[in-house]
Amino acid sequence: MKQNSYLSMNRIFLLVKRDILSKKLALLVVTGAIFAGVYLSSLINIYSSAPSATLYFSLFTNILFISGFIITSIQFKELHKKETAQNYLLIPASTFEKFLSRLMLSTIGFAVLVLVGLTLISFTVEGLNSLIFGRHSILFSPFSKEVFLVIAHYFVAQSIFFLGAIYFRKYNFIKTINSIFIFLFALAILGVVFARIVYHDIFNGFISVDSRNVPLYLHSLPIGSDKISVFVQAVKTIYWIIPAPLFWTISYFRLKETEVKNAL
Amino acid sequence: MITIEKLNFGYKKKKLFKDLSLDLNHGSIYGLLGKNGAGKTTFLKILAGLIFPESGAVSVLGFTPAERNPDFLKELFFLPEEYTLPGIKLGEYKKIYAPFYPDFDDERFWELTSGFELPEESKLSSFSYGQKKKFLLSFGIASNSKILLLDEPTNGLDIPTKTRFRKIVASSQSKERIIIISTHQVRDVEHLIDPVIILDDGRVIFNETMERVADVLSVKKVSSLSDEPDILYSESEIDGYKVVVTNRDKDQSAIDFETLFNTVISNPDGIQSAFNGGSLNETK
Repeated sequence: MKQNSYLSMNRIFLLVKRDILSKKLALLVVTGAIFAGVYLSSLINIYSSAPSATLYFSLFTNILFISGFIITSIQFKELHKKETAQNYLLIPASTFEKFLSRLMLSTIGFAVLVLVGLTLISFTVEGLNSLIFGRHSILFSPFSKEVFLVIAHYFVAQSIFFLGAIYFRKYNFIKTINSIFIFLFALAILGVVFARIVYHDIFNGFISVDSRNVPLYLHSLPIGSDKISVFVQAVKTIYWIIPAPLFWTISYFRLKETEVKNAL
Repeated sequence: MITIEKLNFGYKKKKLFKDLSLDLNHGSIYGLLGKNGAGKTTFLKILAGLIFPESGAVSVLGFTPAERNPDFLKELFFLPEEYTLPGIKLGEYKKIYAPFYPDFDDERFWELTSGFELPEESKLSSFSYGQKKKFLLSFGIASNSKILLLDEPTNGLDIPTKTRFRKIVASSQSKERIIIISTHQVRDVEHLIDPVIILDDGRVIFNETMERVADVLSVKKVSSLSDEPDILYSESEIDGYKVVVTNRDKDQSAIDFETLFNTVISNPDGIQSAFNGGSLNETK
């Protein structure tokens, strides 16, 4: 049967298999380290004066975000070295398949791996704790609404690191973090400048406000008012809809335009 | 079939190809020769879709390489001069990469790797430079891709392996396949490549079969350069001179690649006149 030139599930499967098999040792080491870390956290938790009921939820969030961002940042490591880039780009699969396989691995794939892994680890660790110490922490609950909300937030934030992975040639993780901080700092400065210009009457210092000068109409906009709610809702909608598709799309085109020049 | 029309490409500081045009057909082992920096590797990378031309049209098997279509990529194998192999065994590599090539020949792969005496239990990353090259060559040939691009394939190979390399490449040629070997070690590919393409100054300055070379050019030994009129190229030797002249007597004297290369590079205008009476067969 003739395969589609741009999207073939078989080729995506082969790409994913390639990534997993060629990094199986690293995966085993990371899994072992996570298991040890979880076990230690659980031991500390059960012997603390106030054991946390949400230990595994906190661990899930931390593992997903920290490990996920690091793993995402090295997704395109082989593209930034001439010798490995040519090998990757010449694998008989379309750019879209290569993009999709890496995106799936670092989003859904990683989230499911942490979800299933942590569930299994929590059962193992707490089972051992019960047997050895006669006490245990509350087990991880993978099907709660909070867990899925954390995963959704991870997908949005991951898209920035995915772009950083393909955009930066070295130190992708650190450079992406720096870029985020610089962007947020610039946004804060912009906000202050905007407020200083529009509401210059109410300021009595560089950023300090004299409450006596704040006009009445600003007092009449308490948090929870209709106008504020609409604004918050709009920001939320933009947050969920725009960044991830935008950064993923830019990443795709960046991959498509990658060349392996001699004068790199 | 490879067709290149008015290809232009350059790096920031250097223009490499200026309106380069060339047609390459199935069933031949082309030798791509040129001085260092002539653009041989860049040319192969453009054919592989690893570098995009600034302007002009490049068509390989009817595909535009820059699009990196999987149907094109499965018909192309590029053996680069510099490469890194993963820390896995050769059998594992085959298991991971061979399914991407529908016509991959398992039997041929094992035959070649055992012929090259490559250790099955060692990791590819621990192989020597020459062993890595042998491994990639084995994989490329077993892939049965229609286009095989070999960039300096004999670099790092010992003398017995160079001989074996020539035999393997020659036996791998078929009517459907185009093999392009880029090299500056012309002696290593003697009696293997035909036709010969020579790149210089951003253009194809020579593209001829060895049969035609033998028809047009002749190599002679003379004691004095004045003994022979219309010398295209000369080299001093202990007992006189080796000269390349136009083959007016139609005798078939063998011209080695090194002498041919030196003649073409040192006297492109003279060669042009000798082959085409003033119009060099640059493009077709």
